[in-house]
Amino acid sequence: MVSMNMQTIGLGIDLIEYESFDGMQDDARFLKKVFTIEEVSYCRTKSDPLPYLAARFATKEAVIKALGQLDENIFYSQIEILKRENGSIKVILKEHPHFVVKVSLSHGKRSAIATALATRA
Amino acid sequence: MEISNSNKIKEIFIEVLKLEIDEYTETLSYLEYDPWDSITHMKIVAKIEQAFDVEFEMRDIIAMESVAKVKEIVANHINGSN
Repeated sequence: MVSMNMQTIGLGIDLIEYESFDGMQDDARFLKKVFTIEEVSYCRTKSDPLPYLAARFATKEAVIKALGQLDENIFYSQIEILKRENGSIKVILKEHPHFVVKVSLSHGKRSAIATALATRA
Repeated sequence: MEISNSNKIKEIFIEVLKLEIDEYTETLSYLEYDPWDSITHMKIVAKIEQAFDVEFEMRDIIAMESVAKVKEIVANHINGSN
């Protein structure tokens, strides 16, 4: 059996309905506050960037919740969600090097859901 | 806060949260009003930044838990306290 010290693990989940995100994909100020340049660039390679931006927002929310359980405050723009060549998701916490976060996200027709597991590095 | 600035904030809240006029109060709270969620919070923040030509720090954005607190933080920025 794997033994885990629950005090060092944070768990987060978030669900975003695309409808709630409508219009924000063209709001430059909103995008700048929430996403990195790389994230926006990636999502804009898609014919409809909205689900991809929404999924990243959900992922960032999940990360914020997971780190919050470890008493660590972090903001959207400090979390970068990138896609590896093999399709898996990589999370970069530029200003929080003492934490490691694993995430999983899924798209549906109307919503995206993400989970995050955070531990101290 | 000047009435014109107060009205700008009111218009933003009503637009983003799709409020009826009488639903907008100083005590309207992020924690107690479900439609004021993480996305609408960031929409409100972005629209206020644009309307007042200011930029908020993370701590300010997190502290904006009620209409009254938002107005206080905006007023501090306009008056140069931040």
